[in-house]
Amino acid sequence: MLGACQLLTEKFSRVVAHLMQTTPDQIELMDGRLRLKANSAVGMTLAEVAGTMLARSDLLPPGIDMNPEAAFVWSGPNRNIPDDQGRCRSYLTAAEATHVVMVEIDRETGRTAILKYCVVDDCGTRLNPAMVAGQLQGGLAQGVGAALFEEYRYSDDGQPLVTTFMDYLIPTIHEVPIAEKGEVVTPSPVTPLGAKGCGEGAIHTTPAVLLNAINDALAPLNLAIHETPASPHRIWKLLHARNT
Amino acid sequence: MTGNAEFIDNFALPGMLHAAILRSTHPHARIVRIDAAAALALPGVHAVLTGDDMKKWANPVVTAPEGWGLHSLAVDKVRYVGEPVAAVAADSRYIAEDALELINVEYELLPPVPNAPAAIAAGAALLFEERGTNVILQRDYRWGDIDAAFAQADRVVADSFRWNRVGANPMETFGCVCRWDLVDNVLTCHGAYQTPRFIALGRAFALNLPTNKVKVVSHPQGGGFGGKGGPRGTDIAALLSRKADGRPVKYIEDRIEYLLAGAGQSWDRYYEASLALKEDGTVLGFKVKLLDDQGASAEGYGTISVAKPLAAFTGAYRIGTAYYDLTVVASNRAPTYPYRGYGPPPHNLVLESLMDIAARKLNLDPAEIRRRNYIQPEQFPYTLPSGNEYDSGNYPAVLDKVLAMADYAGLREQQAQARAAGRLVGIGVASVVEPGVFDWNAYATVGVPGVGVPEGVKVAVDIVGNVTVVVGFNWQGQGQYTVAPPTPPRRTSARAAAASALPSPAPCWAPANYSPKNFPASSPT
Repeated sequence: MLGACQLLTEKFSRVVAHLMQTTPDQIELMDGRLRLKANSAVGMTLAEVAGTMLARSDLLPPGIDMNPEAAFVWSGPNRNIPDDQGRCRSYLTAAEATHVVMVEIDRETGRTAILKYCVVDDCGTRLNPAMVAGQLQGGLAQGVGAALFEEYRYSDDGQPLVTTFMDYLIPTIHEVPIAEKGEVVTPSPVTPLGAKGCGEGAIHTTPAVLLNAINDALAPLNLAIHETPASPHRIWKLLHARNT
Repeated sequence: MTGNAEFIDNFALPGMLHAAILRSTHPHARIVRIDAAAALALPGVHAVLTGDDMKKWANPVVTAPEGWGLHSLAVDKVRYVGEPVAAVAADSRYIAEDALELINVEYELLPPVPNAPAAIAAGAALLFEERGTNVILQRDYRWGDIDAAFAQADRVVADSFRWNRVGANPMETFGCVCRWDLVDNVLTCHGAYQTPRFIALGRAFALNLPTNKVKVVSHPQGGGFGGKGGPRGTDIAALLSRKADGRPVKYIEDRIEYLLAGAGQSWDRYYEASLALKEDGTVLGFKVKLLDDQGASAEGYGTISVAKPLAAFTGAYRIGTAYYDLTVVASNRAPTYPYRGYGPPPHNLVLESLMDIAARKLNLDPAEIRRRNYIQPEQFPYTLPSGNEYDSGNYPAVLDKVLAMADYAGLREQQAQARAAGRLVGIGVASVVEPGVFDWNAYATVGVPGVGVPEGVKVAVDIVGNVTVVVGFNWQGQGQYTVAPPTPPRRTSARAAAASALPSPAPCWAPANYSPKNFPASSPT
């Protein structure tokens, strides 16, 4: 977006500079007008420049691309080819987060209740903080599902055992806590606005932190679960197999 | 909320027919015979599609690695329960569903391959006989002297992990309206598409059309998360339209179809993994062996899903060496698809679980073992053993802040009291790196043919100064409006930093969604 706008501004500045018999570096874009830096009263609106480009080829600088649009595809610097072990710069930004949770397992039902959920994340510059919070909370909900409830089960002869939401358990508002959220901001040095990704971090983390908390709860019993989902049924079996 | 969004089920074209799909009830069987005469004779039925039509008109869907795909409707044999076997286009969905009951399919049952261990067992039945194996991909990655790291270790912790299938479940299932214009030989697909360009390319290859004869129009989505990516509904509706003399055909996947064999199943994995540590908790090496079940087709580009962990293989930690052994197999489960995150969540579960197991063995607090291993702020840019470079970060600061926010010491006290009272209370800590903005070069090592590019943007000004912004992917809540707002950004709106490069007020500001004619370059998500 920024790149395309910059390309377009450069193109428009060339047109305006030509018309005003100056050089493009004397032109600036401000308040919807391309104007002379030295005299802000002198300038042209975007419409006037675009209209000139589309309707008055006789007024344009020679050799200019007359199309009043620009496309831009951004990638990070220093792209490289993977070696035979797959080593290369493949992703451009690295956001990070640490989640801390407290859970309690009901011995009778095997059900895990989430008592506390805290997240601090660093996705660089937050362009739209409400959107970041929403992405985080939504990913967390899906992470709760993956960690505690959801499973496409198949029988040993390949028949799917899940065909409705009676079989495939989706967590609801009662199972998904609203996390307490905090932030650390380390702007990305490679992206133009300092932002990093933030849409996937919570689902990357939530299943891991919940299983860690569950195994912390089970540790005094010398039990552990290393299978997802750590569903009530699975935990109940674990607890009760020990007692028999 | 205005109620004005045109979700695909609310969309209709003149003369539109409705599709219903007959699906396999067997995980693995040869199709001996399909008798659809009675269905075709039912009043209101306009076309019945079977494997014979696929042989004439279609190709197996595109996969990565290549050659592990199925036709969108079964040809000669079925490979999972829920695989389309026949489809009907009729005046209404009711008639179409009734017609399905008049179709007789005779099967000859084959031994099923119910899961990944069965797929690699000696004597396993083969999904793709011509391949001679159920193994789609097998390779390993060796980063540094992993054997030395394990030999030097004071302590090795190892365990196995099972991540069962989960996946995206958007509020709205997949749906489309396809029209095959028989005069111009142009296919137009309206639908809740997440990845319009990718879908258009795939339809061109699968349906033998030039790529510029497929138009994909994305409608607003009731959620995506990866679950809208399947080719089958579109291909079937398109071919039904072709068979019904070019009348538009609507197919709306119901929830049972979605759960049975939609594009919402992901990450069916078996892990064996180990960490090599020094007595002080320093992690020297990380080994992962993955057996990944793609299901009956590699159409979901699942090798991307198993390779994406390369981008953050050793997480937030300074781990000098690592090893990744991966085996990707086909089974008689439904094909798997991308799901939000596209692969790392199970990998992170494995690494973070081993960190906790190690902490317990070494009598360290889980927060402390992480702190001791974090990449330090001054070490960025930091190159992982698996090759990717992290740009920046401050992991100790993140940990400090979240421990303070949670009152971690207080939580541990509460836990001690609860345990004393016999309650099963646990505390979890996990630190994870989220790689962002992908450029697909690492995926070349797992048979993904294309190397994509990050998103492109086009900005155009028309003759009266209206500004149009075109982005390459559909709105699903990722925040496109932040940088391409539907109303002109005010210069004072610092949050719309990118957009502020353009003037305010512009006479009009119209972010446009993807359309193949106005923007060719975009990545698939």
